[in-house]
Amino acid sequence: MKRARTKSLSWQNKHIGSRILLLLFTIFVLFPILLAVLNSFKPIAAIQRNFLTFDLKDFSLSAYDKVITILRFGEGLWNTTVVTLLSIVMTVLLGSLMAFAISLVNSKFLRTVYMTSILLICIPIHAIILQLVPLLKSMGILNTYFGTAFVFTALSLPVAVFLYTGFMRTLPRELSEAAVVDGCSLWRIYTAIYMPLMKTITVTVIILRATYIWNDLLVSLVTISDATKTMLVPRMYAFNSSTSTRWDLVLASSVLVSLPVAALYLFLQKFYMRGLVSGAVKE
Amino acid sequence: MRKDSVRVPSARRVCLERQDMKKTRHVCYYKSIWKWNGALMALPGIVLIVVFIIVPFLMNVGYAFTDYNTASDVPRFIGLTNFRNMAKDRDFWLVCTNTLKLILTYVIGGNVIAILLGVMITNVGRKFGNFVKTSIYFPQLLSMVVVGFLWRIMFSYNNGPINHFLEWIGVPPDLLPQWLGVPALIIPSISTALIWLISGYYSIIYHAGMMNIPMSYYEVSAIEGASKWQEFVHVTLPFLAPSITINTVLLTVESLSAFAVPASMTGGGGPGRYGTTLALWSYTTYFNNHQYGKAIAISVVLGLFAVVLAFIELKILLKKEVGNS
Repeated sequence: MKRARTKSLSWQNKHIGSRILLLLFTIFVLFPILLAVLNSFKPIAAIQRNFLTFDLKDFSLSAYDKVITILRFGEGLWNTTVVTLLSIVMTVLLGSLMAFAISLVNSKFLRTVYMTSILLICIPIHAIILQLVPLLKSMGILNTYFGTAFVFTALSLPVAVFLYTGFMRTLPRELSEAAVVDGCSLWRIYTAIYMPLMKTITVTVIILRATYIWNDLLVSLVTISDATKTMLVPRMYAFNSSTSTRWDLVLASSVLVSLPVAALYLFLQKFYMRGLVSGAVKE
Repeated sequence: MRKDSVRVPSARRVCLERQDMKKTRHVCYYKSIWKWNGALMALPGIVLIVVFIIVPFLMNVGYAFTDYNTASDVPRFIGLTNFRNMAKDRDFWLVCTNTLKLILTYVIGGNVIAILLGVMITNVGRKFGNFVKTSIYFPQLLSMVVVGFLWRIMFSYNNGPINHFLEWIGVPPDLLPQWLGVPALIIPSISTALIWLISGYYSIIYHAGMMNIPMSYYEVSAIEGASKWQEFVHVTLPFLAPSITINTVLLTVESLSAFAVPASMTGGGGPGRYGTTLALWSYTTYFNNHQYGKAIAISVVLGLFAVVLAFIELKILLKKEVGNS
């Protein structure tokens, strides 16, 4: 790792071409987002007149005002937050426990569990989504926060197990061996030794899955039909079906929905990248 | 990276050293003593996965052979009728081709762009590389619905920035493409939007893979007088093989489950279903047209697609990995 870095340092001055291309690509990536944010502050007439210019006297917050009342934004935000938090807590707890058992205990059963959960990453969600409504209904948890959170957790677990196991396999075996010699139980090794080490990878799992759950359309659309319990993105998707698209509302709601996740990412960005690298590349 | 190793000095260093020495699999070492304890720890997660993924998946396959709908209580076995209905639909082949086109453009385009970005990020050094990594990850934070809306504007014919740009560089107005109106251009446009969305994530994975390549290989290739291209093909790519395998499989699943982006970009499937993928078709057939049996059959075909493709890809790519190392 260290040597690879010296390599890039010594090359630094020679790669002007790469720098320019990367800069152009970064602009290409950020440009649509910037346009969206700017246009969300314009009234619809100004958006239709010209999407690419921004005149200060056009500035208005009316779109935001409307979005917050039409979508009942506060209610949606509360629902989304509750479901996301519930699912993330369950994913982190159950996922790390599964990965811990898989990477520490040698049994045929757990090896099968690992292989199965890796396989499940490859199954598109559409192959199960149609059965979720009858399934949740028969269990009596359709239209509840917990029902939706269970589905999200189950969908997140394979990825979480993959990342956690990848990370735990890089930990030195002496750590747990020493604990065994000192008479630690399996639970104690998990809580006292592994938990403090898992911070980085946990941040990665949280960001990866929280953005997915927060932004998901399909599961929340299907499993919650009660209008007061719907999450933000399905509410926003309603703008799609209308014949004349209200671009000002679409853009303003997009910005509002994305803000919390963007804040979370910027706040934890450094840990996130580190964990992503340590967990995902192995195997 | 370095800060991490300061925080847990011995642990990280030992594990890094061990990885360098031998790339053997981590050996699971506590034989039978904790077998039950371990299974117990994993149990809650396993239950959730079984109940909310495996059971509905099997239910789905089972119901595909029945006349299941939300009204009838006891579904009757009707054999392959649902699948026949699906195949008879005049849109079936169109949707399948759309899906295949999306997979091809997305998986190849996504991989190529991510590897190129990874190489460039590795080249430019840490500071600038980190800035680029952080910035190009941003789209990943947006909802697919937002992404679809955004690119609908970007590609829009009259007002869209892309056509404005083309006009600006001198393309005559009557040659400006109607991106989301011409059948041949819809899937590539959707693919562009999706690649824009994921390039950040996958280039980070590739970049990390490149940082793990031992410097000595580059030194040797420099001594042997290899060109930059030869170095890339014979040193960088073989070392990236494991990452390429995982990423290809993940990209395939993602393109198969692409639903919200095509839906919101083309307003629910595009002119004449030219923007409809299998996933989107299954959804609209079930929830908008209420043809339950057919929709379930489509989703089973989709699952089959995924399993077969993942299998083929793993077979080819894993063979390449072994051959190279």
